[in-house]
Amino acid sequence: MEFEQYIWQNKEKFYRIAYTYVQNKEDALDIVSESIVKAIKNKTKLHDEQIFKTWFYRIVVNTAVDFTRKNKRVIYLSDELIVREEGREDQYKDFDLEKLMAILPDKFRIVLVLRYFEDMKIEAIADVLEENVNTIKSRLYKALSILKIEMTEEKLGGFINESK
Amino acid sequence: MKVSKLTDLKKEYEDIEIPVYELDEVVKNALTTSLDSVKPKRKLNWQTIAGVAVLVIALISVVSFTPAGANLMQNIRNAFPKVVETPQTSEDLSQKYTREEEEGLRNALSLGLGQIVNQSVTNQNVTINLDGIVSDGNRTVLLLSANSDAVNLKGVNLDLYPTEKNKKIEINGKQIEGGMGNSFYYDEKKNQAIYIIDIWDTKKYAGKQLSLSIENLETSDNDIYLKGEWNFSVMIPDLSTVKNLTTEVDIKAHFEYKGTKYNLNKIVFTPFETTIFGSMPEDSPKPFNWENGRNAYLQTSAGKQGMKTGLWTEGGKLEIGFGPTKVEDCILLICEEYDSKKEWEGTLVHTKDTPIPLKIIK
Repeated sequence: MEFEQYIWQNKEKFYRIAYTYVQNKEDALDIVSESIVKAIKNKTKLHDEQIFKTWFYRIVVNTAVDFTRKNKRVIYLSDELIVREEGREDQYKDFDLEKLMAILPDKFRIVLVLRYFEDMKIEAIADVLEENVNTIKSRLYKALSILKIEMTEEKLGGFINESK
Repeated sequence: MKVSKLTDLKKEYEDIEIPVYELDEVVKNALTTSLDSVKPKRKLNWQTIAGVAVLVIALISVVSFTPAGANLMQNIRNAFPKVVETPQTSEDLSQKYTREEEEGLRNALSLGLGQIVNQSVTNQNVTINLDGIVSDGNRTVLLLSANSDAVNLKGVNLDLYPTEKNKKIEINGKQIEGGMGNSFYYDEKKNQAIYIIDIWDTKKYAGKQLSLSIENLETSDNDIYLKGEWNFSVMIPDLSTVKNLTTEVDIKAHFEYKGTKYNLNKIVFTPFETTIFGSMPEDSPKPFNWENGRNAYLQTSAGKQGMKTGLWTEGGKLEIGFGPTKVEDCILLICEEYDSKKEWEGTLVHTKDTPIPLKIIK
């Protein structure tokens, strides 16, 4: 598949990823646009065209991270989200996606998004984020533990404990 | 946090609203701008006006005139499947309209009231085909489909709202009067949008030429999605010599709800639908919550059901539309909560004393 066609066909995915960072339409559209411009300009530097899918995901994520750094906004969370004390159960049970994205640090959030929302394999996430597999697993653990989702080692690759 | 919560979050993630039109534009612009910036720069010849003109045209049309741009457009064109579908028979048409509320349309087609038209207009990479026209002599339905291998047609509607300057559906140079509905649905695999334009009270237009001018495609919020023009012309069938397409039966019945009396005085059976007409005190609320859900239907003794397709009240008039049923012993079932089994009954009575039961499930 041609590079441009790949971008065109998956643009909604890239928009969603961008949106999880900025949570507004205009900025998410800007990130998608800027990512495409960066990709096209640097396409010649890509020696292995087979990995352009992973490579473009990486560009979108990096552009989104840069964007949020440049446009850092103070996000006011309600007290129930800011205060987290040991021993209090299911503090975040009323999370919606927006609150979830606000409370998770960038590096945990993107792992969660790529793994569970984009159904990407751990190895592919490691490629996108240029980290090793164990780092990704560790971040996934951390993200899930912040959200109080139980997880086992062997199920990191796909399934979540059905704790009730 | 429970598994279901993460599943809910995923659902919420997938439900992030995509600004389809804006995203298309942004991606298209970014792709074309980037391609433009990476291609070798031209040495400009400012010595002739012709040279400048060529440059301007080249810049404006970069997508079409540069190999990279052409390649991009080809890729974008290939982003969706190339679907060319022109129905050849009424059955072909009928198979396109599968929703429950289109039972009347399928019934009319099965009775031979449809005509294949197949007029196609392509503009802005979108091909709109006027597949056919169906008429029972009083109500006329235009069936259209839109395909594109380059433009995402998800959630895209036809702009049929007439303005002083632009008439959208006209006969003899005049925008038609009377009711008009426009519904559509979308087939993601084919990137095909299917439209139904419903025009009531077309008896007076029988045998006349109808012009349909689609000026733009628009989003569900009525914002312009794609500017363009797709024009069609078709004759309203004259069915004046065809008898027995419509049967009217006077009835005399009423029911009460929350202290308001609703009278029912006529049932009209047509190939498209069965409609009960009645009256109610002006400014009274619509009976029950009939706007939502399948909470009223007709049922014949043969078990045939016509689901409610619409409810209109205006100036004390009441009109309830159902899917088509034959003229027989209809039972009107009204059900405020569809799953409820609690019933109460009444009776619809013909003036000719043929009873039509009315059963209301409360």
